[in-house]
Amino acid sequence: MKYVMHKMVGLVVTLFLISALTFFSVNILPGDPALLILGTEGDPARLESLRAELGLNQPVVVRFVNWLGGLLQGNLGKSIRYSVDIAGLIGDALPVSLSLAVLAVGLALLISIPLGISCAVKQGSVLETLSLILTQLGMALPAFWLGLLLIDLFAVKLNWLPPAGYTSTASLVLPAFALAIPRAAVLTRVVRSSMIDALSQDYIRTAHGKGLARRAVLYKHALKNAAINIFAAAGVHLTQLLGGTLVIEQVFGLPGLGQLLINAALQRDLPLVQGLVLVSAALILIVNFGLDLLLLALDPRLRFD
Amino acid sequence: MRKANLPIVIGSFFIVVILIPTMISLFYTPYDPETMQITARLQSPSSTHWLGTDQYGRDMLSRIMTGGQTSLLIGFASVGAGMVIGVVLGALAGFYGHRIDEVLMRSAEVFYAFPSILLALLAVAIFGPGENTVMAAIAIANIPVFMKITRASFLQQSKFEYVQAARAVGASDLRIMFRHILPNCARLILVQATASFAGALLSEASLSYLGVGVQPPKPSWGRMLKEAQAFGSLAPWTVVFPGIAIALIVLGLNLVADGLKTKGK
Repeated sequence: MKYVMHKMVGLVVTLFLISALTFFSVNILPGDPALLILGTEGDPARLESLRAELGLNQPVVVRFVNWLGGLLQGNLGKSIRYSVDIAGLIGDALPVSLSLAVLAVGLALLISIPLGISCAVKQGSVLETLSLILTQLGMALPAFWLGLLLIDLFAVKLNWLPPAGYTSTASLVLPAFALAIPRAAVLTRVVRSSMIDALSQDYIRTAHGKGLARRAVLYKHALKNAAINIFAAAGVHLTQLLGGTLVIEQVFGLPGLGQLLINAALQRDLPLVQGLVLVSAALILIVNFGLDLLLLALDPRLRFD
Repeated sequence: MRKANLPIVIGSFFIVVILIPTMISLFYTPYDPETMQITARLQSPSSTHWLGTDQYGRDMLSRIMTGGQTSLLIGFASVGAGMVIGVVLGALAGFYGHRIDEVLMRSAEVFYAFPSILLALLAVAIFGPGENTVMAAIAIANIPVFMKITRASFLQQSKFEYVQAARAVGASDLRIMFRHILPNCARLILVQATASFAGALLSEASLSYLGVGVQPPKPSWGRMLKEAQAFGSLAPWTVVFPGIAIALIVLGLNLVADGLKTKGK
């Protein structure tokens, strides 16, 4: 419990530091959002009133406190380009990115668990060598390139799945595979090494000794112990994908956080960039925190540290 | 004789396969990589254009060779800068501990929450797109990893007697840190640098693909993929070859990093 409280305080401090970092990096540097909206030929009087409207004539610290106050009420301010609430824009895009990330990690686990287990059981086999080569290859392939090839094969040539855009869950299949393949490569190695580790423990010998079926030893004893490692690794991939779906979203034209962020960055819609970066970072931290707690609940051994 | 380390041998081979054409492109390419030739648009690979041409009739081989310069330079510079800063900060945290450690590692944790792509887009929003922005962002994103491993090995090394011995003969803190302890951590840092280099190449390719990295007409592998996307089904070679170039060098670097890691054990 003390550990959880300690972690919680750390989370709040980090969240505060992140909001400060995002805010000040965007606001202290030169550049005038009001000028950006109206253009350099804008009417000076309009410029002044817009500055007042955006709160730009106040000192930067006051603006930070105001922004922080808004944040706590779920108000992220207004986008410069779209003139709508940032929270609404993010709310629309978040489910797309989130489901893509979860789907990709799920697929990666589905591929890597059976593959990793068979590698661990049949050490030194052709299958193991082959999977080790394939995992090295999988880790080196850029996910977005994989996406381009998948579109070409499954959408254009075979016409099985939609090439781009977001119409139904089917639109998420190809992008999820493109994201899942490199992740599955890494996870297969994790599954393999944790299973090899688990299988070399004394309790496995005991289980074999008391005449337990091979299958039961493998799945009840070894996999259960290896699962903590696998779970932790999958969690790391999930958090990485929370901010990492953006290139794939661009490849497949998915209306997720990534597309919002890329457009906002290129159009220098600073309040929107600020909000998006903050939400993504906060999401990563919170999911991370949740995963830590879940691990703690799953593995009693961790509670003694 | 020691047994040859297979991952390092194969990995180095892949790296050389990319490195040599890139070096050659410094003084020779079959065609000018930026000259458009509309009559030779989207030609498939042939004896005149080994890897075909793109939608403006530019020679793919020349563009991939020259693109390597940009990608490798950005990767090298950004990882180098991130490594130097990360190692120095990590050394300070691990050597002095207490307050310094807490402040430095807490700040590193803040950066851990930012994936490098997110950090890069934040930088693009503030400073505008371009190579330098991307380079700086990748460098910053690399600092925390190097901090973490340097700190961990410094904590471990500080307990050894040679550190006390050095202190007893009156060596300064700086001398102990960088002359005595650092060489003992070099292998771990080198392994990380190799892996980070591979990661930086992937990040650069992604960012240039998004259009916020290397700007046209300068060729870069990621940028080429962006331009090829619309013609992918018509001219698959425009998509396939730049991707293979990225995958080969990343594969090579990962293999070398793996080999170095197991060799250390």
